[in-house]
Amino acid sequence: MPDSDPPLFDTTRGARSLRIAAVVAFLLVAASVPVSLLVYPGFRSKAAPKCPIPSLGGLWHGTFMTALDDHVRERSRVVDELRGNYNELLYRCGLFESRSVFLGRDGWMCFAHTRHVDPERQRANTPARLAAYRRIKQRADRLGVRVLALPVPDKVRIHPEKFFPDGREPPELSRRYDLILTELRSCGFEVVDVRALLLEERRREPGKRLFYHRDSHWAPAGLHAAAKAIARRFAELEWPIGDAVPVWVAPPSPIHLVPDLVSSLGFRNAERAKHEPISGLVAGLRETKFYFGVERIVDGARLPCPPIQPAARLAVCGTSFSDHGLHWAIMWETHRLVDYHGIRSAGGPWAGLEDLFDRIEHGTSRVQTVVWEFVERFYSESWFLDLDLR
Amino acid sequence: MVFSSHAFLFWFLPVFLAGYFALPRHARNPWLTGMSYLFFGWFRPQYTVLMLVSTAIDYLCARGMGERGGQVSASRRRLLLWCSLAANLGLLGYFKYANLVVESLSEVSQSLGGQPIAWDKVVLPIGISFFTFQSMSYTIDVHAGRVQPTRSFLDLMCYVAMFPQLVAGPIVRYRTIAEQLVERAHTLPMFSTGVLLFEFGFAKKVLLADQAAVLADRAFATAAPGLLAAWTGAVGYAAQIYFDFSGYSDMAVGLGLMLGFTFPRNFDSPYRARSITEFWRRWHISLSTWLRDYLYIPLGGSRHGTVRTGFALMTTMMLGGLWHGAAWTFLLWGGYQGLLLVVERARGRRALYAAAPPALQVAATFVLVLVGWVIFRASSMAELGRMLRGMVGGYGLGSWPEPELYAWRCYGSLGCGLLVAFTCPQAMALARRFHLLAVVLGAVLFVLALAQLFATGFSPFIYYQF
Repeated sequence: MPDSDPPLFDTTRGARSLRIAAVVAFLLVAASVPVSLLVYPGFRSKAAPKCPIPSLGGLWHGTFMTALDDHVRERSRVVDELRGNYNELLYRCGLFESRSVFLGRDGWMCFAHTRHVDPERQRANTPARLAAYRRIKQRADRLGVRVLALPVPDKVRIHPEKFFPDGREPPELSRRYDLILTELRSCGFEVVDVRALLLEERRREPGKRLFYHRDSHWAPAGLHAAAKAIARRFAELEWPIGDAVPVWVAPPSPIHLVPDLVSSLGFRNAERAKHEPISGLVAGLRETKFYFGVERIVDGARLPCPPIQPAARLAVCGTSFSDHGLHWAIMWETHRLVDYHGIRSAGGPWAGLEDLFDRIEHGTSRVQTVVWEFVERFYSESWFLDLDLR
Repeated sequence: MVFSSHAFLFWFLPVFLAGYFALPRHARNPWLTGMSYLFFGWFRPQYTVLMLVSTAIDYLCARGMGERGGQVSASRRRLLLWCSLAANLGLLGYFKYANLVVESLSEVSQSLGGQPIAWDKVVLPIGISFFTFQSMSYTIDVHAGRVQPTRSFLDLMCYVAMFPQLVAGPIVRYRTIAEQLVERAHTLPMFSTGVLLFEFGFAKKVLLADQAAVLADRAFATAAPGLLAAWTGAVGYAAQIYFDFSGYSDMAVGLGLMLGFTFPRNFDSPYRARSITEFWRRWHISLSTWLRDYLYIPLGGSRHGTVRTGFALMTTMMLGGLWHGAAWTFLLWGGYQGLLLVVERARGRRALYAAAPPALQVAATFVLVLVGWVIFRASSMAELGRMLRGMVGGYGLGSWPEPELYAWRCYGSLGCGLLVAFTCPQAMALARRFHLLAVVLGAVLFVLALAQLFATGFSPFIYYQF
């Protein structure tokens, strides 16, 4: 009998029951995904790519099936539950590590790729990046718009003691921010050195929280420091930012949210906290964020400020960092109307800016000065280069 | 498609099993064949034509040999055999070695001041080495009269394409399963044993092989590996290749059992061997026996004196090395193994260290195997040189390879892997006993492996590329 021959019969009823139980359990696991898709047809994880469109080329080269596999996997609630529970178990045991998020000291987190510089990628992206800067500057000049660039430094360089073994950022990382400033200036932009500003804030008040612990974004103290510096810079440059208007500042309201870094850890429902009940662990990792608003005072009445302000001379375009209230802070510091339709969370560094330029070109905006915010970490990424610049 | 993918585990397998057991018996082989073609052509549907043509040629050649009740002239039978061999080896040669040949010619051309040869790289169809060897064994056996040619083209298609062992073996001879293709039993003991074996195999692959691979990759990528890194890399790769391949074989045999097939086992705790000769009786058994029966013995085997035996051994092992891949390192690995076998053969199949205590014999054999794996794994001669130099301390003691993530898991898995390889009962033995503890262990490990697989991403098998 070959070694792989199985036993041909069971000696007891118990043994038979055990076999049935093992088979049923296995089949339940294997069939769980198709069944769960029927129960949760709309489920998808953050990593879920779009359903690929079949094409002859895709089939021929095998790319269609790979994309389909990825798509179906990330549409599966079972996979998400397996992943979430496994990662949470490791986290609770103090054994969890993540490819995308670095877990620093005292519960601080940051995006892992912001701790390193990939000189090759940075170098490879340089021509496309510089070309994009120049095209933006040329378009701004053509429209008569002044642009103040605001590169927001990555969290790791403002709180290096939380993320590096010796508490200091590596020199090559330090050089990257200098490179950003140099590149922007060489393309003719006015620039605010936010890194110097925030480091100075920390020196003055070492306990001040400029960034959130488990979120990649800056806290109100950080963006207010930037807004103050922007207001000072406008005063020096004497750029047209419109007439002063009376404003009213609402007190900051605390909101408990699942921070973006926690939602990138692969925990249960962390990325769908708005729609699904979150686990105890994720609830414990929520962060209290402070949001505030600014309203215009007209004839003693408070009026809300919508994103598009046709009369505004000043605009803020940028990313989720602006969306944390940079536009309100600038409005507060400058007492000027601010158009903020060009703030695009996860939209890349220039999507909102291009949109604003379009509106100016079509005569629907009278903006003459723009604060253009983007985050430093886009120097480590290349996806933004695929975005079509007009 | 590979077993450790979401598409296979959660879509292909349940749909296949549901269809297979829902269909009447006579429809099961067509279903198995059709789904096997889907499995094979998942990433490159066009390659299913290759397999179909190869099967058709072998079918026709074998039928030709069996015409007129087998009263076909010897020369005609030989001609048909050569047709089959030429077709199979031609396919294998083109898809597997064309890149190596063109690249080598291009290098020669450049060294002589010429231009590099422009060439679109040929993409290797998965499992081509396995299904061509299976297919060839059929026509060779028909030619030798060891098996009757089948009348059913569908049976032959089913045999060649059968998805459980299509991608990475074990290499099943036609005569082993000819009767099972026609008539086989589907029993609860077989199915449940298959399930447990599949679970163990999957866990070996994901929890042990993939973790050991991280250490091996790290060490082999080091520019100047110290003693610690080089040896960790070598041991890591030994664990990776063993658990990857034996895990796949366990899954294949397990799936076979679920479908009522009994495939031969492919591994027998190879790292517990006391000599290289014994190692080759325990490692990739279906390939070793294939090479023995269809290459070593036709080359003369051990019947024509020491020199001819040595020649047959060296040739068999070098061709066996080349079968694994199109690189000079594989040829060198085959030569190294052949040389060790020749030396042991000259000593009456005894290792040089046969007088040592058994544990030392196992350790010495393992070290020789490790050196072989370093040759096998090296992506270039330069890398091989670096690793061997590191293993003899040419770069000093150095430090342990440090994975980017989960170092504890990588080293823990390597430790567990070595424990399993050297001391634990084999997966097949555990599955056959079907003890409650084994069942619970299998289920827990399976779910843990699934969770780890999907927590960390996709995990292809390394052996399907050979």
